[in-house]
Amino acid sequence: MPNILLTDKCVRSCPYCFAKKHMNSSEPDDTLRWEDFIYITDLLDSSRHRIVSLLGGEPTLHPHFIDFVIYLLERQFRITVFTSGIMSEKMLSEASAHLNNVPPERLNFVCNLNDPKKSPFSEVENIKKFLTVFGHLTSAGFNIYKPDFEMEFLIDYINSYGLKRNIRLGLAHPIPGVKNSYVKIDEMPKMAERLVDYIKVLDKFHIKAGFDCGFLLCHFTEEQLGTLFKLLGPQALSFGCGPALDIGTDMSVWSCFPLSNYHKKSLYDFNSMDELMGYYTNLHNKIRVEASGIYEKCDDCRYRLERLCMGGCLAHGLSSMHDEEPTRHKEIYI
Amino acid sequence: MAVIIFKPIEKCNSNCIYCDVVTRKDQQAVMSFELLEIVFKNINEYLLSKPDDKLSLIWHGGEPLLLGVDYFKKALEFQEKHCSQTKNRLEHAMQSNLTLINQDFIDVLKEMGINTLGTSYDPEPHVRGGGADRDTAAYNKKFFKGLNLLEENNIGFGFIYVVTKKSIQKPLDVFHVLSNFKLSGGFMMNPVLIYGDDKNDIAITPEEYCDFLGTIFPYWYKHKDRFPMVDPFNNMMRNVRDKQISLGCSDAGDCAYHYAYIGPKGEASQCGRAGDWGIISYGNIKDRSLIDIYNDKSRDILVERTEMLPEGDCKDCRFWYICHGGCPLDAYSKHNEFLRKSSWCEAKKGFLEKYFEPITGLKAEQHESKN
Amino acid sequence: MKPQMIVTLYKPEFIEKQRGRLFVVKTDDYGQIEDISRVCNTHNKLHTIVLTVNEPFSLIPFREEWKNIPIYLVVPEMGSFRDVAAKLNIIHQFKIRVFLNTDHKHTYTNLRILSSIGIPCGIHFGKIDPDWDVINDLMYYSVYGKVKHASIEPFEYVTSQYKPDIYTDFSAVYFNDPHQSVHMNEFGKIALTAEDLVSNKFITDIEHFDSIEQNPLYKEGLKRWQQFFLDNHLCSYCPAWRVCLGKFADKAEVNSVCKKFFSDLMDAADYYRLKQQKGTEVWQ
Repeated sequence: MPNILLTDKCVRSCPYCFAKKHMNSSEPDDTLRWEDFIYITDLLDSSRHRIVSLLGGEPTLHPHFIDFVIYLLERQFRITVFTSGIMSEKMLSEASAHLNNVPPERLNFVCNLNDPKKSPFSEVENIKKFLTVFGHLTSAGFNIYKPDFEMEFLIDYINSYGLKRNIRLGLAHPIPGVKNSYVKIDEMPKMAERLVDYIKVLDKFHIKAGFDCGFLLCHFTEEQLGTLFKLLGPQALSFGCGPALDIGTDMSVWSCFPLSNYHKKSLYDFNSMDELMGYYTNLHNKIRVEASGIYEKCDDCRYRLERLCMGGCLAHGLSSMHDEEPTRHKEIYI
Repeated sequence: MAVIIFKPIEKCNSNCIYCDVVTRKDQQAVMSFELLEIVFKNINEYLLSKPDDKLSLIWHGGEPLLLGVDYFKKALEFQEKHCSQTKNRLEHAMQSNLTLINQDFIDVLKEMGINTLGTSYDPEPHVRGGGADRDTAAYNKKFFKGLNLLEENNIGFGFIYVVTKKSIQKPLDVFHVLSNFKLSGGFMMNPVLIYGDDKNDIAITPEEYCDFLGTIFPYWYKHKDRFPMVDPFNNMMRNVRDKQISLGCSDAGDCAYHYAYIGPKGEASQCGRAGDWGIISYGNIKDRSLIDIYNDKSRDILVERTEMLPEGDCKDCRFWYICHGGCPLDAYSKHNEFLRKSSWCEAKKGFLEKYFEPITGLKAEQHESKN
Repeated sequence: MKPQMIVTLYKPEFIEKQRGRLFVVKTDDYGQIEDISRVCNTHNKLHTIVLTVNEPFSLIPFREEWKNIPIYLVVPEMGSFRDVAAKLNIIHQFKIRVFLNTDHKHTYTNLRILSSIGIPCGIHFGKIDPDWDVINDLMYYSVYGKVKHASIEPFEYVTSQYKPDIYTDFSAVYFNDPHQSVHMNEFGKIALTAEDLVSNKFITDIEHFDSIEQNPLYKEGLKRWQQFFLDNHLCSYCPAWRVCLGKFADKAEVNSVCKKFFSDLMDAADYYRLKQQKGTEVWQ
């Protein structure tokens, strides 16, 4: 499922933001043009990909955001919009008028929520307004960037605003060359323990969680894994790290935000999504040969070899090789 | 097939800058009906002597339409009278500037069996046209009127464009205007051939002609489906790629016994240019039969040329099979003798080596013809 | 071959007197559409209604009764996309082609949008010089696009009608090719083109329409392109002459940027032909 960046502008400055590096290097006024948007849609259509994510910065800042969503709906796509939920009254009103009645199987918002106790008042109020209107189409997203995180507020949001009863869990990773907040490797077991405890709590409220990329199997004990399996089911447990394809406002393409300057290409270099996916999968495989995972033990890990776990975020591995002498595959260093 | 370049008139209503008739002839003579009748008698005699042969009578000039409609009707009368047994092997063709054509002419041309006319076209100003100044605008207006009439009557045309010093600065522009004017092609780009003084300063060298063609060729080759009948390119492709030998008279090396020229006073020569230049004489049709004219012993030198050149000027040339040393008249023009190769050989060879072969990836090689 | 269509303004009393004609009727009043269809199809046949209005496409009040009526809608701009999208179900049932004016800055983008959502559309050349680079971009989308979409005129006409040995005059898209249509005023006077009609350059009248092929002025009119060669005009030297025929001649002298576009269009037409010969759709 490719991610389309509608704009590089954002309304927040989250401490864990993995798009930070990309946005720092972009022009603030960069927005995706209609022509390019249609090109991307055609490419997806011709490759028979009918699911798409809209991202940013903050995608709702794009002047044609609503039109783009309507356009994708017309062309029979299923859309997920990753948003902060923070938008102007005008935008919210227009979005409500045109998108409120879209069936949930066609349109889904993932609202990345931060702890309201640590967020500005106006930001929280904005989010609440958004959730009042679109709660029924929205899943909560939460990014873990420190070991002593808190998730209770998510339960409040879900119950108060009728959000979908599942949470997308992300794990913040170091971005090569950027100072962002993330969970350090030695803090992972503590994070894992806290997470499992929260999942038990969420279960009492009939709320599920799904793992985004970058979690490691070995961060959890056998018992913890058993709890996760029992409460979330096998589909929600994911210890993967595959090339998540991001398409930029200037039609550049890369495999995920932490690697946004790494083997960045132009979308026009590829004739289909499969070709694009193939290119980055190949690249990742080459990197994994050099850095199979974030731990040395990942090299021989049977779960990695059986592809139950990918060995953690690729960015981690590349970060560790960033300053060494170039002795490996040349793709590692470009 | 035997060919007669038939010029019963040398007068012309144009003044084309490259025309040998304009520069070399007094243009006053018109063939009498008496002589015209003799021509047809001779044609019949020739065809009776060669039951398997055909003859092409190419009406030329000057401007043949200046003869008037009645002249052609008379010709048909003579044909009917003297060629009743052989007329089915007699083909008429015509080269005309089309400025005088009207429906009466078209009707008689159709009776003669002509469904395509040869003509020429020059878009540049002051290259052809009436008067010393060559009023091209007025001339071309009549020319287009003539073309439109041909089209209304389903008569086709092909044209020759003569490449002169005026053309070589912008070859692609020239090509575009020619191909725009006649979309399906059907034109030839021939170099101007000057014998003697270059009074109008229009001569080009073989190298210049080679580069003129070479500038156009990549574009033509890329879009050859758009321009199927442009020569010399199409011919070159046929010979080299398709291995079908198809050569004009100047390259075939076998013009010795197939061509003849008859002028307005009945004078006979080898071909149109030989007649215009006044070199080679085979007597007069009044006194000699066509059979004798075609078999004149002085033609033997042309055969000798084809035998000698591969051992002389053309020794080891891999393009011999599609060139044969070029036109003997061009050899004569430069060297005052026939037994040499044409200086235009350098144009052809240069074009093949420098442009045709590298661009197409084909190689000109001697082969068994697929004809 | 004589022209088949007569282009005229809507004058019901005049049209009702005709028999067996094929009409293209121009109007600026969408309230007349149903009437025009009824009147033209009684004793004659309606080819198309050319409806020119000064409103965005998104505000046109489509009616159920227009469903089977072929309409060329000429509007200044697309208007609000979401308003268009709200009516798409209806619009897809209609036989409509939307022409947007190039004077509007978003026209080329909007044409791409309309085409990609299945609405046949076209370029209406306005007063301002066209942006040939952007038109070229749009043409590339139209011809080489990755998925099937609605056609954009005049690209569709040129690519589908083009043969290398004939002139492809896309004036036909705008009913301005005298090989296919002539223009008639309210008094039955006939001119070859819309411009001739405005200038009162009549060649005959409706009573003599059936023998128009023999009319010397008509025959002469078909050969107007030859004037470019007689004048040694720059356009006659253009490699893309055969698909343009000097339509932008007045601008060509200043800067022949149109040359690149029309050359690319010819290449696209060749590509289209090749695809057709292989039996595949252009977008495949």
